[in-house]
Amino acid sequence: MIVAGCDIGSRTGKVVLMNDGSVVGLQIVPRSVNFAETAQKVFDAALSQAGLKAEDVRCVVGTGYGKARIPFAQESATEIACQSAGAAWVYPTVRTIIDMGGQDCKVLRTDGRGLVSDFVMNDKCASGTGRFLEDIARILEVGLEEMGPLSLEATDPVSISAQCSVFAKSEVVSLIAERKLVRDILAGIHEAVVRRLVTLVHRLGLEEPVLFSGGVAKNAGLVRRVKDRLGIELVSPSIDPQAIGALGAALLAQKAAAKG
Amino acid sequence: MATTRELEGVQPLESMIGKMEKTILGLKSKDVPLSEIAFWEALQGAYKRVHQANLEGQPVVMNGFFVPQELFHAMDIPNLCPENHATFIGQSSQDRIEQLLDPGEGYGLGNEVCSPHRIAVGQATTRQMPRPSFIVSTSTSCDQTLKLYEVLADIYEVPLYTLDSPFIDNEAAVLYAREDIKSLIHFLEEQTGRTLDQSRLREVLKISKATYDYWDKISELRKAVPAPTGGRQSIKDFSILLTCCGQEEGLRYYQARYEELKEKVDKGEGYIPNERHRVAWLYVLPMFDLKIADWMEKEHGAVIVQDSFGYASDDIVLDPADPINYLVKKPLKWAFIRQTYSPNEYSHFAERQAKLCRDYKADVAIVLAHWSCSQYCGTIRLLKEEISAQLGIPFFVLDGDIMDPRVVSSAQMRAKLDEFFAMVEASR
Amino acid sequence: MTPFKQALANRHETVLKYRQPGQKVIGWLCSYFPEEIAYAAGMYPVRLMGGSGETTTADAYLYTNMCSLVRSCLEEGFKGAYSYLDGFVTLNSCDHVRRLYDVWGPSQKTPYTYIIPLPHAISDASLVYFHHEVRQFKESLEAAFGVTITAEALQDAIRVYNKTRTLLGRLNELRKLEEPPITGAEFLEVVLAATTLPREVYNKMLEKFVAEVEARPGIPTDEKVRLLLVGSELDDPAYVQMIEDMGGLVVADDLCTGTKYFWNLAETDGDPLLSLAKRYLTRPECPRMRPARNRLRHLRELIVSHQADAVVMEVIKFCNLYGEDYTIVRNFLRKMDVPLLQLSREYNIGAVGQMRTRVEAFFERIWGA
Repeated sequence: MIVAGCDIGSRTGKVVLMNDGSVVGLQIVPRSVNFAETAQKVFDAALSQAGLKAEDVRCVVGTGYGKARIPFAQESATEIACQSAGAAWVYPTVRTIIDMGGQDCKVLRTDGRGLVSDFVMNDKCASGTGRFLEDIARILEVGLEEMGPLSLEATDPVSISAQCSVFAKSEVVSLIAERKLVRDILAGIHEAVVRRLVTLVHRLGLEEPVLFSGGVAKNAGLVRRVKDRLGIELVSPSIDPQAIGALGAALLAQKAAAKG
Repeated sequence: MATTRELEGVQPLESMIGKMEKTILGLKSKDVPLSEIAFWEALQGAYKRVHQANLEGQPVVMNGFFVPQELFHAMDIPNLCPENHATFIGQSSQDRIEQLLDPGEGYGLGNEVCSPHRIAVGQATTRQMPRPSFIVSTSTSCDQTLKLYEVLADIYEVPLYTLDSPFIDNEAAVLYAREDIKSLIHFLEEQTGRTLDQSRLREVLKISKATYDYWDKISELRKAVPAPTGGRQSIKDFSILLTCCGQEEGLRYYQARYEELKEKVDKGEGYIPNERHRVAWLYVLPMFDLKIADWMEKEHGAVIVQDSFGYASDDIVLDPADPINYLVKKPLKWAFIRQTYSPNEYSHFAERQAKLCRDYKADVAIVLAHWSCSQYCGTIRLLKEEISAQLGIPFFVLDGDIMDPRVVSSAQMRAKLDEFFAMVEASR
Repeated sequence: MTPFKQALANRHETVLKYRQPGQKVIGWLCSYFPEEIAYAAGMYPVRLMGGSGETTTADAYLYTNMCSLVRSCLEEGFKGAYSYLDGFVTLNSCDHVRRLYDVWGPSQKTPYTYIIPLPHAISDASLVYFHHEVRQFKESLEAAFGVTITAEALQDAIRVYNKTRTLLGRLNELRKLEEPPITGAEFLEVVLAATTLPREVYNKMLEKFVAEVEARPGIPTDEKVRLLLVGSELDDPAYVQMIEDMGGLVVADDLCTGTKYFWNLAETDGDPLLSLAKRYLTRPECPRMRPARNRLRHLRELIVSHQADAVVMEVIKFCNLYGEDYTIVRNFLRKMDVPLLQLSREYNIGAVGQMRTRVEAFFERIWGA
């Protein structure tokens, strides 16, 4: 039985296709202005990848920021539900999920059996999000994929004191004017982002195993720092961490379709 | 006195009183609970008194939330509470709110200052309230309250009396507070040229006590399952307590409210048809989006069974036979004060909030982490640990601001609440 | 490096070095704390300060919208830097300190904690009340540590602390000169060291130092802006240094870590606890105190007697008492035609770019006028 999960976030759209419990298609596309358009585009891409047609898909569950705008979804589910379902599939005994997406950052605690027991979100402040890192990448004129690795090559990391992303950005501009090296500035920025994250984790309390999901989980600089700061190892997901939400939605679609 | 200066706030108050008149007439033509009409009549009465005194050049006092207003009522000094007034503004459009937040900030207050306070200062600098003859405030419940009235007194250039509220209400503190009240009376007599009539004060205290007794009873009724009333109505309750406690109109509201709730509870009638979640709302609802309470009821069957402002301290007994003691103890009747203005090791406010959840059989606790209220946010961890330890109910921290819609939008708050309630449902 | 700078640079080591065997260390926050009581008990009172670096754990116990000073103090606690404290005492000075106290007890391992209620008013009645609370604290300390604090011990403590006050007062007088022999940064450093070193050791160092400074040549100020510095708790002389590097000279201050700390003497006759209550209650006031007119009058006196050209008010982000005092001070200074600059800061000096721009622009305005 073929099902799909469609996660339309603030920066990207993701689709995961599953056939009898195996992933057969996974696509991530940048978001176009129109949510519905993004959804269609990523869905088509995934179908094409799996050699399937829309009619083959029994059930689609939508999630994410734009979940109400997915024309072909039969149901929608909360991001928390999808993250926890997806994480549990990737690592059944996971206890803490750190999800850093485009415009928010969530930390979830689960009971080790896929049920969420507590969560904390930080979307009021932009400085713990993918969007913030994108803006910094633009200001420093580096590619998004380079920033993480580059930040790890810092020899003299600067300390970013601003708590607010608006001030952090202007702080970066003054640091450039002071001739600080890009990699040292990046190190400071990555430190600052991890600080915000670590506070959120402390509010909930940390318990291993820990999974890091969301687009920002692909940033090697952040991953390293999260591991070092919290003194833990992170679970290595077997699929792209950015697609865990969509994966969870697909699993929920499977459940829904099985019920009939 | 106001007669020597151009009158301020005449038009805004006139317009407000007129709007309330329309509301009252509209309500009277419909079949609404008596308390609804009584609410608006009580509020309108309070504003009418201020307006009249302003026009006649009679003394008007501006006061803080926890000032013993009974003294004003006994001396016929109409009173205006700018923080309470700000809650009305807070319920209007975002445009209107910003029109007051911006001048408040522009005057020199940072945007981390409590939003109702910025609105109050914005009101003062744009002259939308009658100019007071003098101001009376308290050091409770927080530093921002302490400073707000100093700032207002500086703007208006009028005398200010600040009651030094007890941090720990031991015997020595109560003695000190008693002297303070006597000093305040002396101040009021000096400022107005009037004398406080003890028998008049006793009359006012009698009404005040009767009002508080109803509050206690209503608090008891709200423990019923299903809950007989919701979050929005609770706002009305404390608004009256803070505006006209000691006035007949205030008592009429409370009596009507009590009787309506008693009827519901006797019949076992719930405020909403399908009560799925009993919410202890630890703080107050966002004023600019009170509808969020209605939305929670409709979308999630979640009713606010009690909130921090509605919760009375059952260990404080008010006795009008000793008027000074009555006035000293009155603010402590709010459990909220214990939390905001006393040490946890003394007042056990975290335990009290857990007790709130238990007494009202709340199955979830939600704290609105009012961004511009740092000292309240500083208690969240203590509350969470206590409530989790004692009750193990889901505890959710909702970031937001009670009157500044620009901090966290209505849509964002609802999105997060959706996530929270979905999590709770899933675990049931 | 002066002995004062040395003591401050390695605060914790300083305390551990000078702590006598079996001596109890009492950490305190807020200069309204009647230190003499701890001293009279044979204890070593030490001012709590924060550390450098971020406050990620403390943020989770308090909240990110709280003052960075208290968050930093709490973070130091979590790092174990304050494991040597036998007690932590403070007052209900401000909301942020109150919450620090609420959280410190359950989250740290300090054996003894106490919060002294401090009135908001200065009056005969409030003195009676504060005297009571000061006595309660003294009795609590005695009971908790099994010591007796005699009136004689208190009188002796008062004498020792008055000596500090007199010496620092002499140093402060020198700042009134046309050419003060000491910078604001150095002055702050000297005063702060008092709250880290044992008092007798400090008094000896200070006596020597004051004599040295009195003999020093002055710093010419005709090219500098003479400043009165006021605002939130400031325990980083480097911050003052930055302002002075840009062309100012802090010739006067009304900081709780500066002149407020030593301004007035305690009376040496009568009931020492009453004397202490009176001395602390009536010292130059924090903006939490009513009535404000004394405080403003004091600012005017400082400006006139130290010939300050302008006032700088630094406010820690989220500090309510100083943040909301700004408009009151501004309106007052306007009437005196004294320029005022407000600077927002975090407890730890971070980005200086913005601050530099504002200070430079402020000085330019003053020189231009």
